[in-house]
Amino acid sequence: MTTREIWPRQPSDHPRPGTAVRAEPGGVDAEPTDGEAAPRVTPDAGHGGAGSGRHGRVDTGGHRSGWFGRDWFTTPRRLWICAGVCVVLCVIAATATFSMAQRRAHAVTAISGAVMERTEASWDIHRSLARAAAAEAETFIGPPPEGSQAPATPRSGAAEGAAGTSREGIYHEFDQALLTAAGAMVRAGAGISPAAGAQVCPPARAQPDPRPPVTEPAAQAAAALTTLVCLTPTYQELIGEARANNRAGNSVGQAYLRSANALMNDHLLPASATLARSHTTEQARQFERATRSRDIVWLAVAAGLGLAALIGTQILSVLWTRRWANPAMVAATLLVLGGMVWPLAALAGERSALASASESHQLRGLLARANHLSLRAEADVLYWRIAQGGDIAFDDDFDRTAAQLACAASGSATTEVPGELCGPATFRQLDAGIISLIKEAWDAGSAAIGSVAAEAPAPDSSSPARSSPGPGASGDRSAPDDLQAVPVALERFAALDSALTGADTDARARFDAEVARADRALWGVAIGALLLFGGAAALVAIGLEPRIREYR
Amino acid sequence: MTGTPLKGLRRTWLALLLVTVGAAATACSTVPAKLPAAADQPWGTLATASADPGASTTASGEDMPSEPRNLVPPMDPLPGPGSFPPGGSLQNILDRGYLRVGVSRDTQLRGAWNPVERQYEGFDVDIARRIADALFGPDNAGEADTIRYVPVSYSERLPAIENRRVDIVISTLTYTEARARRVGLSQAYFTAHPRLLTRRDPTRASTASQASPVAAAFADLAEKRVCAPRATTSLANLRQKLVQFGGFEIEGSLNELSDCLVAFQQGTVDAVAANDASLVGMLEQDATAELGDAEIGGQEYYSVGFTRGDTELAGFVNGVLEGIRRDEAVWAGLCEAWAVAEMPCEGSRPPEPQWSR
Repeated sequence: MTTREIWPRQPSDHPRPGTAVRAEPGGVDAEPTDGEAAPRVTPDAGHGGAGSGRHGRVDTGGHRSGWFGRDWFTTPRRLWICAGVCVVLCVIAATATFSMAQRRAHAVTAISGAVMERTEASWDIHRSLARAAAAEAETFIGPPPEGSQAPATPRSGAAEGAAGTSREGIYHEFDQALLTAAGAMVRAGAGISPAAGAQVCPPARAQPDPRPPVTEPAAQAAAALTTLVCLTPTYQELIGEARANNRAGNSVGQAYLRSANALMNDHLLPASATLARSHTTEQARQFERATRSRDIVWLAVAAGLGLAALIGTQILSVLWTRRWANPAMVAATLLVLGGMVWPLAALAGERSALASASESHQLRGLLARANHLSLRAEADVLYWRIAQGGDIAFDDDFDRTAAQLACAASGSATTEVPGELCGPATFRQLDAGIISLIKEAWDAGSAAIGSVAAEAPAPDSSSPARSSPGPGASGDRSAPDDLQAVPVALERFAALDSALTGADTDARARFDAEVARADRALWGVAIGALLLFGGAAALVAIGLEPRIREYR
Repeated sequence: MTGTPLKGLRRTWLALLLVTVGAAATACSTVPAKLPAAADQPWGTLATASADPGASTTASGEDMPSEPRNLVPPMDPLPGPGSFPPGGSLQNILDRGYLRVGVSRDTQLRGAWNPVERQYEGFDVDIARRIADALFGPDNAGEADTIRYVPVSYSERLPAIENRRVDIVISTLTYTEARARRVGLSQAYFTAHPRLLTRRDPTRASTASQASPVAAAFADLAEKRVCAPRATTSLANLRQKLVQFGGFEIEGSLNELSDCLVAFQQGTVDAVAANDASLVGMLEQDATAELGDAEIGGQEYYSVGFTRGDTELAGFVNGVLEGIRRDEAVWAGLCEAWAVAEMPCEGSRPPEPQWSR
């Protein structure tokens, strides 16, 4: 069967008289005529040649001609249309792939760059403030004077608690922690618009916040940053008053310390947690932006349509022109195929790398929370030793915080279900070494706070998420008999802090490596897609132009 | 064209299609990066103990100071360590080896932790020492480890006794009928006078036109905030004065008197209402403050608190206190050790006890 039998030629399908039809013997472009000569062109008033059907009319045989009539769709016009469709689809595919690859590359850059910087900064704020609070509490547990009476339990533990650590050294640690927090605030606030939050400082004391409540994440972040910027100096001022009064022997110094601690726990740490949450949400958004599934669909659709158009054009071209293959069109098809497969493979590689990076990011988030909780638990022990109970129940808070820490280490959140401490695991548990250190710190902290802890079951190393709610309520404890309890607790918490920091450093290195892999996977995709699809479009024009020219 | 090349072409296309679909499927899922719930829990506020139930349920009028009466008669003579009834509360304390005493942590001159000397000190602490010395006998007199101090805020004083956290509370605890129904209260060991602590202001205009010094004192506080720690008789007293004179605002949510001093020094309150025995300690710490002359309420009598119904401990404590009260020199010695010019000891002597029949 010949193409003529499939689709008989129309009068306008004939090449113009005098147009040379290249017949390259043995070439792929040779016309398969089967010995049939190209029909002679017969000018006919009713059947205009190419471009003659401007006015639609009906001939004597009832055939419609002119606008979009049967005669309008002459072969050159069909080829023009096919070429146009192919070129347009190639351009669309090029543009879509380029913009998608660019957007993903920017998102990957943001994941490891600005957004990660802000996320880390918000974690640093939280960590530094918690560290400052713990360090400051330690300065109030100093060594006793020589030969003084020893009736009070705070003094006993305190004396040992500060052993080997100079007050000036702890002051320096406190200053350093606040300096780090201040630097982190600058970094964390880099992406926050001042207009996004109310620029009114919240009250330092437990008074109604005059600022209107905000629900939008950016506004919440701005409000949290404002709280941090406004109240950190107030915290330092309270600590300064506490130290001054303490040195003067005034008992009001402890009240200042309590106020500072309340400010830290009720305002600063929640604000830094809000900020951290805002930035981690932004980080999650960048991950989603870098691995958005509809990008793949669009890429596949655009490139697939381009590919289908090219293949269809070639088939139709064979039917219409009776030429088997067009090398330029074949090359264009291959380029489009490459332009489709390469980005898809690159995106698969990028996605795989980012999936690993995401896990490292989540691990870092978990480690950050564990670190905050461990510092809070440590501060609870120290504050409890200073206050020895009181309305601010540091021992209750220690129990709750230590339980949260154990749950976090096992990859679970705490639950409100009676009789259960941790909810179902939402992430893999931390290293066994860290879990063991958490158990030791919990035990040591309980021992430092009071003897009730000894009556409660110790956390089981094999099951960090124990089901008992921990030691009893505030006021049930008695003073610890072991005077070494506080230094031991401080030592355990320091070891835990060190282990968590080390694990975070490792996770950060893995995260960076995976993000760099994702970045490499996308390398050249944007430009490559432009070149491939652009080249395909050019080849379509090059391939079809001679065919169309034959009919002029 | 034969069928074999066509088949080969089809296979090639099929393979390419599969590769493309495979790559698309691999790449076609968004990576979740939201933190797991374990790492994304809100930061909890500090756990705080509930407020003193008595403070909220007792009407302020009921919790007004009164002179101690129906007191358990004192043990006379006081029994020594070897003569306590077996199984009784005194023997239990002796067996334990130390007396648990609830004290204020920061009511300077009464009971407070001295951060320089690193010890609890004050008039109340000295009274506690007297009781411990009597309990553990002359051989252990002055031994530091016969007392365990448990700092309690004002609102924690009665719960600490009720929860058996402490054996006794000596922390400027004013005798009231409402309190006497919840815990055992001893005879008075000190008499205090409610007054106001205000900012020293030499330019302040005289309020001589007022009917009384108290009215003048509260007229000066018009539109101002006055602080009194929660669950105190001072707060109840202040509420009465607010009804009587009006014009000022009460800050009654703070736990400790020293918290009121912090608020005073930071300018969030303008005056502090408490007994002179407590306020003089604040005067020591703030040179910009002064003690008002006017007494803003009736006299208050400090008692030692212990478990209600423990007549053995009540009788023993009353025996020690009565011994101090009767011995002029001892009482004066204890008082003078912590006296200041603004509160001489003459007006602080405890009244004659009213023993139960």
